[in-house]
Amino acid sequence: MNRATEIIKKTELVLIIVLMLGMVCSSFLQVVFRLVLKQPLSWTEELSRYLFVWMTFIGGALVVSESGHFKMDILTVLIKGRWVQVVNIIVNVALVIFSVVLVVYGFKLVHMVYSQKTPALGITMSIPYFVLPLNGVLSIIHLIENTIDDVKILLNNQEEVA
Amino acid sequence: MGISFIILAVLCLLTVPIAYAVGLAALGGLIVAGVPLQIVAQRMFTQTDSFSLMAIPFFILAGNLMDKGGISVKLIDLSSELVGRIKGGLAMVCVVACMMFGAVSGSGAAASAAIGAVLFPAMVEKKYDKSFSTAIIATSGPLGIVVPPSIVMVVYATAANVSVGDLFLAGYIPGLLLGLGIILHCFIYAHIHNSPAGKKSSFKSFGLAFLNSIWALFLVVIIMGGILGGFFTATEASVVAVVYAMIVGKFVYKGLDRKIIIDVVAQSAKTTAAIMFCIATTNVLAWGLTSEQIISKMATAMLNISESKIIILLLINLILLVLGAILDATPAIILIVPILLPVIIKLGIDPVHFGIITTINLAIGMSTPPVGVTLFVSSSLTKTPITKVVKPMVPIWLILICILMLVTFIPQISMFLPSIF
Repeated sequence: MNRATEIIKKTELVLIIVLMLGMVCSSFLQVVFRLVLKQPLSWTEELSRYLFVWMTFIGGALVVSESGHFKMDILTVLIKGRWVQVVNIIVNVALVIFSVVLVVYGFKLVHMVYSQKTPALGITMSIPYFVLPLNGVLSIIHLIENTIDDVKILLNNQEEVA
Repeated sequence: MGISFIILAVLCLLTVPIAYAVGLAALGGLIVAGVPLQIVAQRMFTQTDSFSLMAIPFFILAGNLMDKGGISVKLIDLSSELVGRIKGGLAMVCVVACMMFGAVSGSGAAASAAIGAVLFPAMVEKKYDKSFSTAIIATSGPLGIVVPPSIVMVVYATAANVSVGDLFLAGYIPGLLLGLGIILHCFIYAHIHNSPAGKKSSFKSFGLAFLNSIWALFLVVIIMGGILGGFFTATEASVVAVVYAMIVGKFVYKGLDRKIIIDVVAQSAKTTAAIMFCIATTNVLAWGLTSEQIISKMATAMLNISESKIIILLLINLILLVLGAILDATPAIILIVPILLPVIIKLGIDPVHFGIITTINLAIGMSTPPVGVTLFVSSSLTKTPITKVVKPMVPIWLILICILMLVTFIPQISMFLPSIF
């Protein structure tokens, strides 16, 4: 389990680096070809946009694993001891619910748009959309891992108290 | 969709990340309204699938590259030549350097982190109070989003459908005023606490510092000249800034190598993902609220509160300040601009002017608890607890709010520059 999730995180990290650099190259090519070579390219904008979508949602899953999404942490100042893990678990459940919706309805959407082709690249629209359910699946994996960690801490504490 | 607000409040208090709290709030509302849930995935995709918003990752990346590449140090040198010799100069250097950093990058948190990391140790050495120094770093950073180019303005321009170029131009004078406001506070503080002056400046050392930072400052010319001259869009300007920052950081200032660049790219990608995920789910909520006509009802209700333009504007400022304190600036804009824009237009206020009002409000919100990015960044940077930083911040907030009022009620402060270009 641990090894597998480490590999997933590493892959996500490499992917977002490649996607970001891809966005930079594609958008910069657009500027160079239009301003310097006076021959605008048709596909650069579309490609950058889809790389951007992919980076957002792959990165979003990685940020879930690092518990790095913006949050209001008034409560964390107020609670102590095992309540920290209890709240963490509740939060994880909330995130899983949203991720499940993304998986189920994301896949429906991927299915629905299969016959549509993107205007410039001519690929099926399912490819850019596919990252939505993928984000859901990856986030759920990370959330399960984080929840297991929280439960472990919780059980250990209980033994100490008993 | 009314239930959304309750879900949102409860989940945020439970420390559910804001992006997910907003998404689940929208989900609850959509289920009650019986809307097919594909719309959740659909709206999240269409919001992210945007060339204009791509300026966000590029400006973040450019800012981080410039910081790691050594540009922030050069800007600090130049700032200390400008204001260092004054009593309390080091605190003012922080403000000026943050404004300059804001002028070459687009984010506030990056400014606080980049400038604060270098200046905080120097301020402690000169016997400045730790909480005061942290407060200055936390309130100066947000100047980065008021001084163009600015990520927040890019998002506003997308949401309100106005010209990014106009918005950028409109930001210069208000940004300068806010900076002067904090400098005034440093001046008074320095005289009360007898803070020392920094190093003396000579014509020669000034010239040297200026030459050293000329590469960084030239970026302003590229970005603003490129956008205003119609050569490229804000997004294209931001990608040019990335490539420029990479080249200058690697070959001129020599602060970047391959490993650092990869690290910076990964970090910027994660920051972007967190921001964009928030924007994506906020778009689902905004869609739900619009389709249920809750937004137009809210707008009408607001216009019914008072006949007076002044009172409604004060109310709007209050809403934005509160919103800025509980939400990050970018999702706040996606959520509130569709609600407030019809009100603003009815009142006869230029959307560009309103963009500046919104940006300043959210900039103030960036340094306030509970969700203040620069407050968190500075307090973790200086290892000073947030509770200790709040007290020295109160006078600064008051000054900033006074300037906000000036900008709100004197449109010329914002609209002068866009009107002459």
